[in-house]
Amino acid sequence: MKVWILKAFCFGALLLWIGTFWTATARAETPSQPIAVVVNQSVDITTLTPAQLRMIFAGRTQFWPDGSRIRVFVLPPESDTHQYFCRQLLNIYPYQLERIWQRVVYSGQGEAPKAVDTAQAMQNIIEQTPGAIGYLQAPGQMNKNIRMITLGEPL
Amino acid sequence: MKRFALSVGVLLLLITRFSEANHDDFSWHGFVAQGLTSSTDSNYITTGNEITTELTEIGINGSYVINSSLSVSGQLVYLDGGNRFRQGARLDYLFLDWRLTRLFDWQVNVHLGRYKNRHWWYSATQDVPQTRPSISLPQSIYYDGNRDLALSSDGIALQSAKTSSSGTWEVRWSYGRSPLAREDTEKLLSPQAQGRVKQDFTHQFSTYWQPQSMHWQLGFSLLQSEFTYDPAAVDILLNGKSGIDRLTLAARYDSENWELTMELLRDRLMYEGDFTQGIRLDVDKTGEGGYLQWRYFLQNNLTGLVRFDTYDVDRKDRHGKQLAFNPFGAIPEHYGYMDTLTVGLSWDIQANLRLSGEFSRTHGAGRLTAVVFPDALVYAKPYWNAWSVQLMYWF
Repeated sequence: MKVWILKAFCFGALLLWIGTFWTATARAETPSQPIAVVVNQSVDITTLTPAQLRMIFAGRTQFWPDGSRIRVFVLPPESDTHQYFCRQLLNIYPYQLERIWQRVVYSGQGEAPKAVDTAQAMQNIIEQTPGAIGYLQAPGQMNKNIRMITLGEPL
Repeated sequence: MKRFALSVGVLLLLITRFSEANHDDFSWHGFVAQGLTSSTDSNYITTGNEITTELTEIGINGSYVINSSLSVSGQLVYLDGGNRFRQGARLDYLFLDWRLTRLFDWQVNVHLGRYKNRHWWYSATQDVPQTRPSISLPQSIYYDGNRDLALSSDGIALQSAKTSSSGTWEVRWSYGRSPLAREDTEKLLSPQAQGRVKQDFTHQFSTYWQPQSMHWQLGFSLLQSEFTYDPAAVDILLNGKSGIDRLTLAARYDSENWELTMELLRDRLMYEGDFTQGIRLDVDKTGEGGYLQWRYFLQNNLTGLVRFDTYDVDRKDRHGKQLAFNPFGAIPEHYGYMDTLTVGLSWDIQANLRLSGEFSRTHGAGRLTAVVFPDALVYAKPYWNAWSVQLMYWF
């Protein structure tokens, strides 16, 4: 075995150990607030599995089953709601999602989600945009143009 | 040249025609990056240790959704990378994207035209500065001399992504060929060769798996490609062909504050041909290498990088001792390998503005060019350094 392989392995193991320690510290600060996935009333879907939700927000699925375009909206990456949505509902870190979007956009495979500044702006744009999907923290009054999606395995 | 002009015309038509027609179905993006760079004791980036501004990358891409099954995408790039690349504009990709399925759980796409190579971690966007982990990619896998060959090809590609409660499984296949410029012949073979090297085909397959936890991603890729030499009327090489077989293994681990990436490769390079002096070209070498890269997210907008990259030209001659007996002239033994340690820092000044800097220390020169003909070698001392600073903006 070449010496560099051994050195590289030791180097990697050391980094993993250090990284695990720091990660454990950072995870303790993750907030925990209920988030709901919401869609425009035009969307003919009531339930999505976590895997399907990830396919949509990762830009891999760009059309609803009826052939209409999916319009994805997100809050700014630094917002607590976006951070929590990525970790708890998509089961990925926000930087992983950012990496996927960059790959999709700059290899000609689709469009990244559009960012809106506030929860109110998110609610307004979901109401007004056919095919829209987004998320809201503890959504209050739902009107006839917006509704919540149930997450889980389809019946 | 005519084909390039036609392709550029099609892309510009796509951008101008559809940008006004329907905002929902047309999208366009781009990037501009400019930097300072230098290589010391090596001509890898600059000649004679000079500092240069030849670190320019400008690109614009457009995508038009024709209907729920079809879309067209393309990208134009201008590149100036010192000695690393052919300076000038190129059409990186222009393909028809045909979506065969419209299922949430399973996506199958066929790409026709100049498709992008999506078989390695960074290959799909290696031409886009803000998507790379560093200004220069690890040379064992992303060898700069092969940049245009590796980035895209003219032909057909197929990709499938299937997701379920156990994870996501991706399969990619492609078959095509890349047009080569005259300068590529000089780099791949020798400046004395008067003819042209042509790629007959490149055939690739890869598969990646990511469990539901999304922390790990594992995969492998296979590549087979063949080239033919088309000699000039007066030439030193009467005929020739070459082939490459490559296996790449890839793994990545994503944590809250860091990511660890690794790719390992084994590639077999074969050259055959006849020279005018009656010398027979018959080379069959298997090289090995790979890199281990660690990125740490120091803050939300600050990322550090440490990477060890290594490549041995011939696994049976890892220290390059046999290069002294090369039939086309003795080659210094440090051209038999290349080990590079890189450290870098990236600062996201704004959401779409980044400043990156990196420094690398290298032992050996085995991945600067093909190590066959002494007159085609890129000058380098056994130990040499390189550094780059680049400001990049994207939209």
